[in-house]
Amino acid sequence: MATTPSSTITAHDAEVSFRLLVESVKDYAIFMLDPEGRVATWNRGAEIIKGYRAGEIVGKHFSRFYIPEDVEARKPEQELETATTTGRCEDEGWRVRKDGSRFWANVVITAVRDGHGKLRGFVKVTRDLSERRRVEEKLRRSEERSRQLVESIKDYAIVLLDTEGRVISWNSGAQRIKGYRAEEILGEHFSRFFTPEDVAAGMPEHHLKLAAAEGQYEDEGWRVRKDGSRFWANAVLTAVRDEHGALTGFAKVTRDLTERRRADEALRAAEEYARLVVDLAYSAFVAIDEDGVITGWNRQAEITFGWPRDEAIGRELAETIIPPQHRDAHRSGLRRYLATGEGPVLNRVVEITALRRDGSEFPVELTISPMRVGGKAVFTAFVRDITDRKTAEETLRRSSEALAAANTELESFSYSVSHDLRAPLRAIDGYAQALLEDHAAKLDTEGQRLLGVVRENAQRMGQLIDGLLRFARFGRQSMTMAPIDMTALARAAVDELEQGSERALPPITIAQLPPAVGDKTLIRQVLANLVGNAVKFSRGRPAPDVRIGGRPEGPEVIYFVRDNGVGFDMQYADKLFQVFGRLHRAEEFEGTGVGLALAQRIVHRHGGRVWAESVPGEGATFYFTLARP
Amino acid sequence: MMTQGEIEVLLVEDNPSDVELTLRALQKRNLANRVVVARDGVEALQLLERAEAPPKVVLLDLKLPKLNGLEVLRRMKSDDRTRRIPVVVLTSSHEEPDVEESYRLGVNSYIVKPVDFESFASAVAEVGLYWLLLNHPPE
Repeated sequence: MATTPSSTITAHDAEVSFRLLVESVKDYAIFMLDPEGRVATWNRGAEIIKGYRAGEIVGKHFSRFYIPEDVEARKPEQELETATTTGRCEDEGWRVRKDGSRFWANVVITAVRDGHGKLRGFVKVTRDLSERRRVEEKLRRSEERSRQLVESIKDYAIVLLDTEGRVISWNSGAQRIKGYRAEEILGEHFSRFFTPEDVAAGMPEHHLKLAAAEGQYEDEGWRVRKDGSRFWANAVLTAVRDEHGALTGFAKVTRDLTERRRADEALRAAEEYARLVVDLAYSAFVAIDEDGVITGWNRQAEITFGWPRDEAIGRELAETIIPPQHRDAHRSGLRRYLATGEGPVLNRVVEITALRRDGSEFPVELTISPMRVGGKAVFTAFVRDITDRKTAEETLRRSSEALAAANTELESFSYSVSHDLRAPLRAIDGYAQALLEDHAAKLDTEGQRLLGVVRENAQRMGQLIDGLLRFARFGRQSMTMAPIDMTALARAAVDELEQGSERALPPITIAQLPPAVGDKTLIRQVLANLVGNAVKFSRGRPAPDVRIGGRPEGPEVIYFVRDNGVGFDMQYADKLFQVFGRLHRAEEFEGTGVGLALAQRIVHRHGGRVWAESVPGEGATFYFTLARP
Repeated sequence: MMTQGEIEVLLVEDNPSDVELTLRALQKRNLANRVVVARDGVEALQLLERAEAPPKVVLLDLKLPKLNGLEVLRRMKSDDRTRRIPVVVLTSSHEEPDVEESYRLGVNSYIVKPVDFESFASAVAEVGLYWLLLNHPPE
């Protein structure tokens, strides 16, 4: 069997084949450099990657593939030198295409020597790594972004712990919530965020153990800030594992829930407060829904109506606390409100009759407030048992009636006193006078004196009756309160006394008086009585002197009328203001004993006080107080 | 000149002592010539009804049997025939409601009788003088 030369692969054949192979490789630029670095061969991959065709680049120095900075730094020469001395030089870096664009390249330069070791040139293999680099760059940026994101999160503390629980990363949220800066906390054990009690109970380790076992552990509780203050935290601890499932650490995300917890507590407190207010109210609280079914019932309602809460809830209100005769009105009123929104008995105090469980009826006062809760109408009412008040009102009404009757009786009594008692007195006086006029001749001196005494006493009794009636009248008279110019009023009272007096009055000095509030007519009567009194009791003194003065004191004004008259013994001061109370015998000083009693009565009706001070023989001072304007 | 049966003063008073003392007071001033006394309100209105000429003045007590003084006053002042006759209320009481009511009904004077006879006599006499001698009623 003959063999053909074509079937034998010669060294030459192999070389040709290899060259063809190299030339056809597209993904690698493979070319040779001569010992000086000039391009000697060029393959298809080099053409694709670098953009030069073989004809335009062969014979050119390979430094043109480098960026200007690298050329400047003599990097091409250095790489050739490295390859020459070590046989090989590998590098990654920016290279330049024909069009000036750059690409990231992996370059391997291998020195080629002949059988004698003489340098023949270099083989340079270049890979375009731009794509890979772009992917890597993207990944790197994404990681950076995640890191920045985590760091920038302020509302969550995001902390990485190593497997032992030591802090290995710290974001701004962690700094904000816990108060530590990264540099002071990195490497520290996370147990310092726990309260001493929790640390003592082994909570930090327990949490790590649970997270490692379950993958994640969530907890709410108090944590401690750097400054020692506590905050209510929600913490989620997640175990971090590598691709082989080995534990590499923990991620801990913590939220500060103090505010929310505070708000929750405030809400709970408000609810508790509202519940207690309703439950402890002294009024019965009753709530019903749209169907008139009882939904609310407090303790007082149990007492008032006799139904325990658990029995009352769910019953129809009408059947429970409304007397049978009012039930239809209640039901139709409820329907009308739901249909039209009209409710004449709502939002105001209503008095009605209610029903106890034992069937007894009693008066109540209540206010019904309609409200919408969750889109449904609800009616709440506070109900008070007013049996006692009604009884009291009835008692009061009866006593008022009795009082009014007594007053009417008293009025008719004083009317008849003035009519019926004065008429016989007038007759006694009149006939005594007639006797004196017509029959004086038949009477001796003693007889005439005795008739005079009869007349005197009749007249005196008339004065007493007049005084008594005047006293009663002033007590009843209605008062018109207004600011009073007391100086002018005292002047007017004194002027009137002067005009009405037969005898000249002693000098009366009126100081500038502070104003007061009162009924002008009545206060003028007080001044007239006190000044009249002072004039009367200082009459007959060598230098009678009457002074009127006043000074503000606190919310009132104290006025006084002072005389230098006979005065009185303080021992009997309480008798001064009694009706018909007299400290002097009638023949010494005239008067009915009503003036001071009347003055006191008027001042008392003004809410003021009256009192007197005296030293017998040295005069007396009468004080009274009135409110300031 | 005054004719027979003409009344100058109609005194309406049930208390005989007051009647006597009032007449005595009027007599002192010579004013008691034509005084007719009615003992109650009904009699007073009957006398006014029958009189040929109206009296120059009526002295009217308030507290009277049958018809009281305020009622007599009210009827006189609401009747055209008696409306113009001057009426002087002479009463023991100084009761504000009575005073007000009397003036509301159109009384011409209101006098509270003092206990003191002399004051009483002069009050009656002054009223008598004023209305009998000085006042000129509308013709």
